[in-house]
Amino acid sequence: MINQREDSLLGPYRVLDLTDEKGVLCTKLMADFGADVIKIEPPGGDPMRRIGPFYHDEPDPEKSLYWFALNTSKRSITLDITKPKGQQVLCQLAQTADFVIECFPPGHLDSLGLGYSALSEANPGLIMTSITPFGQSGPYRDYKAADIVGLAMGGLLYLIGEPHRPPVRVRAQQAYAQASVQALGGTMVAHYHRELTGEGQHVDVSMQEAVSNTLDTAQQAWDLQRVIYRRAAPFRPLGDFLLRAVYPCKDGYVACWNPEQLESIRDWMDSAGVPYDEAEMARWIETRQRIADGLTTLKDEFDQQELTRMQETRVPLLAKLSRHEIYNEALRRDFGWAPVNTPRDLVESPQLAARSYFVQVEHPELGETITYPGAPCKMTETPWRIWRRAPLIGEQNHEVYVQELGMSETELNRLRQAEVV
Amino acid sequence: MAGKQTFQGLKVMDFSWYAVGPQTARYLGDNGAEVIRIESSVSPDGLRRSGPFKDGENGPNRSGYFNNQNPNKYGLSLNLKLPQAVDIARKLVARADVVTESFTPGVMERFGLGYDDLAKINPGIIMISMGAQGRGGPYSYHSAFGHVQQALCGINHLTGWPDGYPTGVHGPYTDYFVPHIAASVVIAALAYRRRTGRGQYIELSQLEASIHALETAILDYTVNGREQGRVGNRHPAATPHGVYRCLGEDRWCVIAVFTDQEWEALCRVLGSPPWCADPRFSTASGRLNNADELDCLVEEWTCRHPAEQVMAAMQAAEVTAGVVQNARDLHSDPQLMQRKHYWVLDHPEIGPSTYDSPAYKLSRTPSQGRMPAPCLGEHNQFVCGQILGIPDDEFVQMLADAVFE
Repeated sequence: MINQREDSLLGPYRVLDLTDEKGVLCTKLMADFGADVIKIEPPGGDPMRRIGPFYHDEPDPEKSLYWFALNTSKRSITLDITKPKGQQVLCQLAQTADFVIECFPPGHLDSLGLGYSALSEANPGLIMTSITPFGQSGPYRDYKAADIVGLAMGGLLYLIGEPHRPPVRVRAQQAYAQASVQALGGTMVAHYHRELTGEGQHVDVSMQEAVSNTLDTAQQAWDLQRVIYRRAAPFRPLGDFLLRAVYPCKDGYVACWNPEQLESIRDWMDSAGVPYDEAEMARWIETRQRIADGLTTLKDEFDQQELTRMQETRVPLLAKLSRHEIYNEALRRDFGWAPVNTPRDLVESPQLAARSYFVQVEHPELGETITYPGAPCKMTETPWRIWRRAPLIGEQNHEVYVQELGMSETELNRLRQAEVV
Repeated sequence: MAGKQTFQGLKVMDFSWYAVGPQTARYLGDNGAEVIRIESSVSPDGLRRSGPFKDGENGPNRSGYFNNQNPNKYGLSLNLKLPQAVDIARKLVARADVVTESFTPGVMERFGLGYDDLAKINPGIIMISMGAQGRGGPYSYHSAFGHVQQALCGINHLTGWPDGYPTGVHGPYTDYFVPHIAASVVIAALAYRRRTGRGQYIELSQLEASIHALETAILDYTVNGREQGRVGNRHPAATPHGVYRCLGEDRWCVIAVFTDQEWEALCRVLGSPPWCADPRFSTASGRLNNADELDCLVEEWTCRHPAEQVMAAMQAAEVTAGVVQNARDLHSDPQLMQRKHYWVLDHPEIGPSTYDSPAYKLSRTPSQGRMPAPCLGEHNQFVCGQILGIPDDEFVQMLADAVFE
């Protein structure tokens, strides 16, 4: 069991973190896997510190839960890289770094003399990962984008929502999350190449492309069949049909995967005393069996209306039962169903508890320990850990500038007075 | 293209199926590794039986669903219930660097291919298991597709309208989040092995990895006792922020206004109608409080213009905006085309077809679409003959013994 951060999965490596919301999950994952991630904040604090919700709803740059959640295990220094002295310090830092992860618009770091070509000259092993809305090249490279633009231009937004209302987003921002995890993947490929050869490189990540990789089969449906998939909640498309995906139940919703064993559903309805048309049900069961045996097809036997009626026989059954009751019974019957879990359900999940998923992180300034999501995976040699809570603004200024870069106290004070730090 | 690729010479045995595992192994193949995908015609990958199929015609080698998860791999079919098949699998693992699998817990062990078995024949192996809810715990044996996995992990609950269904994202959404983390960890473990000489076993629960896509939903509950819910297209820091109807059927453009400058620019694009001067809209909080009304006013303008024109006009004025693109739009998107995002690979049965490529571009060692997805068992002879050196007569005997089914 590894207790020293240096021996962890990414322990020997230093990351300069110049990300915004598009990349902050990428560097969080690197930090929790052990990398020495130094978040570089502008003096006064990073803009992400203003994103709510806040600890006990007290708006304060040191109490943003967004900041807490996505900056665990990192250190923080403040540095104004728009000032020449700040740029000089960043160059110096980049010589000690293995990775720079950044989210500025294309060309911005170049204009400050801090682009890949400048930084890699002094440190050829450096890997720089640039996460932008549309990538470093192409006609849209300078377009402005937020999460919802990434979802829209990547093709996912069109597929989300109910048919008679506009497309609708996910509250937790998924274009940003996708950009981050693809950035992590590309960065790790470059990392392995450097292990072999010593060569660094530039990794160019497009949020739009990251989202476009999440469309399941919508891209292929167009390519192979010239069919355009559309949003269909609470149904989902299956070939030419729509299958019901989400149902209300007594205390919320459940998600259902079709096809299930209709016979087993009938049995369940019988034991719960839920009425249904027996002749019709018997016919459906017989037809489904013939479909399963390859003797006929769904298309030959059903139209959408009848398929919907068949699925909706279970509506009164589900309405009587709680999410928990439905889940346990579905498991017993081997249906691929699941409750639509809320955050509280997750925190109280017996499965996650049995696997000791959630971890406690101390926040001494708040006099409190906070429960965080735990390891994305378990590893026998290099366990994941939240090594420390997210940093305070410039918390490691002295540690990094004086103890590690060898700056004198006077020099650091001079930078402070010039508002570089 | 014959450029140097990162994982040239690296060998991957991909025992996984459906989406999460195959995409994880695909990462290594896209970057040069030799990936051998193990399948069985006795219990084929469900994606081979799921459309879309080329020209709507069913067939195990015609599925775009399967193919997109499996380019850059060799296809080997093995009936692992037979000892000769397990023997071939073990020989291949003995020379491999990485093993991927995504069965319910215990299946690989029953084949004699669990980590403990494999580490005996190859101590340096890196193996990753990617079950739905991980090993151990009351729901460990519950296998679930990403369609319901996204309900389990909280994504459904956070998707949709406040007064509507927890719609979830189209498709098995978590299947398109988890593989990036899984592959990153495998690659970092390969680098770790170079550093220390030690392989390892990685055990990933898709549920546990997916919770990292929830931003603040967990902390808001554990700290403030608040359960986040659905917010439609509202955003606390931007108004207007939403999806606006444009000219044409089911055409939409998103617009997001974060600052006062962007608000003023938006008003200019709209031709500065009198309502823009309404003092209720002059501050961010005023706009947020009157968001419904603003949405209607903005839409009155957008619905008279094509979505592409709305985006271009907004972006020219430095207002954040984008077309809500469908799959047809993506295939003719000038940005994606210039960046050569889609790979067109020539498949032996369905001909040239389109594959997603990674969203990261490496300046020195770019990913490459070298091979289309394999047909079921396409490379049986190649793997046995060329890679393992099994004599022809033995191969023919095994063929007769149904080892490759």
